[in-house]
Amino acid sequence: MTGERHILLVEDNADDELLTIRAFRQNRILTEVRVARDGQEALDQLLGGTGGQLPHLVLLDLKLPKVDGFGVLRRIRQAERTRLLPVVILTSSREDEDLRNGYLLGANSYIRKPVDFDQFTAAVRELGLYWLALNEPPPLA
Amino acid sequence: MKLWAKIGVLMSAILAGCIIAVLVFSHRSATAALLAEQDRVLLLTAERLAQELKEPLREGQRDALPGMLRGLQERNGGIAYLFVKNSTGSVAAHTFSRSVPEDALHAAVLRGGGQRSVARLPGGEWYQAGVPVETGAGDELFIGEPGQARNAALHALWGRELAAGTLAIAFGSLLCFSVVYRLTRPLQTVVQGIQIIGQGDLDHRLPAGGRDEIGGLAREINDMAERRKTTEDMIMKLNFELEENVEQRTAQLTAANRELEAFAYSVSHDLRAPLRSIDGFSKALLDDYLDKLDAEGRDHLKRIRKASQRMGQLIDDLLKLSRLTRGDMLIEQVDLSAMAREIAGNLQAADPARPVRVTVQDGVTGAGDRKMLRVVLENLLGNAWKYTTKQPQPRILFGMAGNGPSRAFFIKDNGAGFDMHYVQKLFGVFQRLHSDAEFPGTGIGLATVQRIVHRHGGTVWAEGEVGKGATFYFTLGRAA
Repeated sequence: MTGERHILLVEDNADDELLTIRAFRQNRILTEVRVARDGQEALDQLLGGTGGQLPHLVLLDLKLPKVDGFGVLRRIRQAERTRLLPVVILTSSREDEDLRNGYLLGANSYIRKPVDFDQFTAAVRELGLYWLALNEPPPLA
Repeated sequence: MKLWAKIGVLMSAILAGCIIAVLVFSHRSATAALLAEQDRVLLLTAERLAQELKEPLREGQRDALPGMLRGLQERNGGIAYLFVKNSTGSVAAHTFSRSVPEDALHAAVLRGGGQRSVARLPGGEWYQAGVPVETGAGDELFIGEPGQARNAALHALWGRELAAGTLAIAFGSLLCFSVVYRLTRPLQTVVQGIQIIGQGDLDHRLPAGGRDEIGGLAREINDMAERRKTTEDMIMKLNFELEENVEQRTAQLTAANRELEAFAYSVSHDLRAPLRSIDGFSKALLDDYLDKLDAEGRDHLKRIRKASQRMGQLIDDLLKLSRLTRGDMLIEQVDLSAMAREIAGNLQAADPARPVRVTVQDGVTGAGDRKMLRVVLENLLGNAWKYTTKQPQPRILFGMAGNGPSRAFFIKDNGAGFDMHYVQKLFGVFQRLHSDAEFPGTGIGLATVQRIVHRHGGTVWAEGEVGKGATFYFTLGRAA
């Protein structure tokens, strides 16, 4: 059941995109990673059209062009189809305000990207291990 | 008691005293005049009766004398008795049933020939007048009238005087009160006016037309009220301006704070992203192109990574520092001893191999923001922990020094210490007295401590000696 599903990485910074995918690969997490480079693109992928396969997990940056991370999260939680979708905020900020808003809008987890790439790799490993293997996903609508 | 009533009572009392004194004086003379008038009337009666006796006695009708006396008594209602003494002094005839009483006889003496007299008999029961009967034989007629009649007249006099006195005192008092009341009326108006002004109605003015002292007083008070009104208006205006200024400044500060928050957010988010790229791709180079790099190239990449990681740490510390100056403070009484023990326990747990002896004085408390005081103790104890690494028998002491207003919290260690020459640089941002190789650090910890202590209204200072250790003191300005 998990084999065909993917991870949706919502990230506008190309470097971060590359490094995140690299961290997944280094940790032997081979799940397909699809990328949305702004909030609108993410919403299009999740809610637009006829509705293809939903991702296993959404990794959401907060500072995004067009629609920001909070806007994306709000729409995800409002839509019947994606209401239960696991969303992990993955961002640089650790401001109390951002943390509060993230959890208020229904984020499942909040991870701050470390500057140190070794730590970043370790964080991605834990994240993959937990959300893709250990955690039981919600039943599909 | 009102002033006018007091003065009225006093004046009435004085007036009453005067009236009573006058009455007493006039009563005496009136009584004397009354008595003299009655004496005169009695004597005239006696003389008239003596005239009636004169002819019969001259004609020698002495035997008929008692009958004549009785006849006279019957015709003159007011006469109580009559008797006649002859030249030898014995009673020739009388109207008494037995004999002439001793008292009447005793009083019946005419000094020298031809004199008249009125005597009051002892006991006041009778008044007796005596006149000579000009018969040539030295007869004297005495008549008596009852004292009751005179007493009744005196009583009537008394009654009139008393009524007049009472009336005079009553009218006089009324007059006194009304005059005093009228005279002190302006004073009362002034007093009432002062009360109204005193209660805050600065627009109230006293009637100040009078040319006397009260008028002067009223004008003085009006002037004072005017000055006070001017002053209050000025204070109100200044207050208003001050409030406006404060509002304006607060708005400016709020705006500045918002800008600072936006800046901090941007630093947190945007400055770290490129650092992640630098570190991440350096790591990628080291991982994927290791065989194409020589030792120097690898070293360069490692330095790049280390620098970017350090910059990440600096950004984090700076953010923490800026957050401390923005957040609200929640002042409460904090058990600093317990807090210090907990932090020391954490330090020991993270570095179990080190044999540091930490001594914490019991019962040290301070008033401040719990989260901020924790940052202070974490920094100071963390520093002590760090700078004693090269000491074989490291010791750290937390407690309270001095007493009263000069008491201060302190953290003392026997670590690397510092040169007092550089003590000013200690608390500056990014200022360090040791190289990173010697003791790692970003140079923000003590700046953070100082900022927190200052926000609490306290001061922080340090003493140290190279190789012997350092002591950091701090106070909390609010009731610590």
